Amino acid sequence: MGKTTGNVRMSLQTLKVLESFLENPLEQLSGADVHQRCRIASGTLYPILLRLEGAGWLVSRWEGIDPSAAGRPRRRLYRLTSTGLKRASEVFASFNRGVLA
Amino acid sequence: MSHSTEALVIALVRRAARNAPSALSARLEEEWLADAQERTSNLSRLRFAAGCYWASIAIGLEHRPASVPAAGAAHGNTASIVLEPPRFLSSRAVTFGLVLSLHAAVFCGLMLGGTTYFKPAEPPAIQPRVIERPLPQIKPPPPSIDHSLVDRRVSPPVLPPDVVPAQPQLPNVVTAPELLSEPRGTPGSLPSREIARVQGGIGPAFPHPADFYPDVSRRFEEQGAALVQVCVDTAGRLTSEPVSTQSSGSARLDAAAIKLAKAGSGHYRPTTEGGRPVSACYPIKIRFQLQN
Repeated sequence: MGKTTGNVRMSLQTLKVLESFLENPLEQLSGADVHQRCRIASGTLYPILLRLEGAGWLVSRWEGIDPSAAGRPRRRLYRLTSTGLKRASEVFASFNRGVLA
Repeated sequence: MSHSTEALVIALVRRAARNAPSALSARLEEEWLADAQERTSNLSRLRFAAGCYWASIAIGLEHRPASVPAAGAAHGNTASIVLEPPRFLSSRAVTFGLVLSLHAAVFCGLMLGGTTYFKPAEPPAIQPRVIERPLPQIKPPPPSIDHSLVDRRVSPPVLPPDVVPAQPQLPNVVTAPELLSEPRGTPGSLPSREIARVQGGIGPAFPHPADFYPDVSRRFEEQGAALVQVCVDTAGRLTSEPVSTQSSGSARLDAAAIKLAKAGSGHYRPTTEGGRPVSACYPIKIRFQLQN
């Protein structure tokens, strides 16, 4: 599989997910938003999101709407944590060093 | 989104969410239903729902003893998940194994089913039938002929089944040509000699009609007897092409009879005159008959 960083296995798909969050670290993205940015299938995307959340790299919350009033289910929004931002930056920096070295 | 597709997507997502760990199923169901609505086409929604199914399997494998906040507890709050260490069999490997075994099962089913249900039809077996025919009777010579000169009788031919000689061209006792040239009853001339002529037929090694029965005729259950005129030399070989003189009612069987008559060249029993083989033409009857 991929390289393990902390307790998160780094695969190409995981890197793509992290990259979509790193474009704007303060932005909150749903699973559909991440799919639109990195085109990862749902069967791979949601296990990665839960893995990153479990490792503390992401946090999630429900969208602040009333489903009955909005007529649709609430979306789950993910955001990078400070730990996630730091670790993801280190991962990409190490990869860049490896490539450029 | 059409109602049927929407219902199918919702059913798939809910089923997928139920496969996930119970602590996560409610959360994933709502999250996936919301994200499914973000998809633009029905096909994309269906692919998304199918992917959720596989995601639930992967999540279930990774979060067996997971302690996760339930959906109710996660209203607007952050969540934390404790992950198990990486396992030897990853979800991707398990999924790949499942897909591979499914393909193998379908392939084996097609191969075994194809040979079981599509067997070629076997033609009916042919049983030879022995036809009892009376042996040709040799007419007695005319009273004016000296019987002491005609005492040769030839044993009846041994015939294979289904092939019988046609009615002999009687009379079988004819006057020898050389004797016919002599004036009969002239005083002082040699006494006339009557020579026994025995019509030829088929020999014991003659081919069997079953070997020449056309496949199409077997399938259509065509039967019949064809009369073929053959000209045979003293060695039992054909001297000319056999000619069909009476049809069996089927052109295929007539052609097969001609073929059989040609194949039997060298296996005919020649006609004899006075015990000596001579070249002669005679008809043979070839019967094609199916037996159960």
